[in-house]
Amino acid sequence: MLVFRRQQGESFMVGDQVEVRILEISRTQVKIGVVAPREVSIYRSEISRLNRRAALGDLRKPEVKAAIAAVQKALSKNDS
Amino acid sequence: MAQPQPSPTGIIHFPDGLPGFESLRQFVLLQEEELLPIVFLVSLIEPKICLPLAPIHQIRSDYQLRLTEDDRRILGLPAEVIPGFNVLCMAVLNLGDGTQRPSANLLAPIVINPANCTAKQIIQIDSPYSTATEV
Repeated sequence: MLVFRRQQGESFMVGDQVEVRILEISRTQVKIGVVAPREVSIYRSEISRLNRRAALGDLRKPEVKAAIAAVQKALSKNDS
Repeated sequence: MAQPQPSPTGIIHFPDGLPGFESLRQFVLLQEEELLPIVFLVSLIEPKICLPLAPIHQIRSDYQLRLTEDDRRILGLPAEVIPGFNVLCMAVLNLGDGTQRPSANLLAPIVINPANCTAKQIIQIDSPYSTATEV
């Protein structure tokens, strides 16, 4: 892994088409801007992780069936 | 797994891919009567990849979907978007392993334009929604 330091307002390139800008730094967060061509998808890594975790292996598993029933029940309450 | 029937909408294309499954672009939405309103987004070439989804407005009736101009262009949507009417707005459900309560990702809904069967998972920037809202 390449590790280096940047200050607020500075940027760096990933390849020659993707620029990452450090917009704002606070105590626990950094605000980041990414300039990239349209075909490059950018998203927070937790979205990938969550999708992979949500993917089901087997609908017949008892815990999956129970969870589906629980969600159906919760959503039918919201509906009424 | 059970054998849900394909919906009449056919193949749904994700031009930007789906985070976590970047190489998969084509999915079908499967539904089984007794499991509604939960439906399943299943990869066409890797049917083992099956994501349970629920209509987001049945989880939060006041859900505010925000789309950028870019999102509209990719999905071919008009300026006025009415979820459930000219667009489907679905949350990915994490059904869990039985130890935690099922949750829904309200921060990154899957938005489908049924008119052209194009979809994208759209992260709601600066939104109050969570990736793990208990259902």
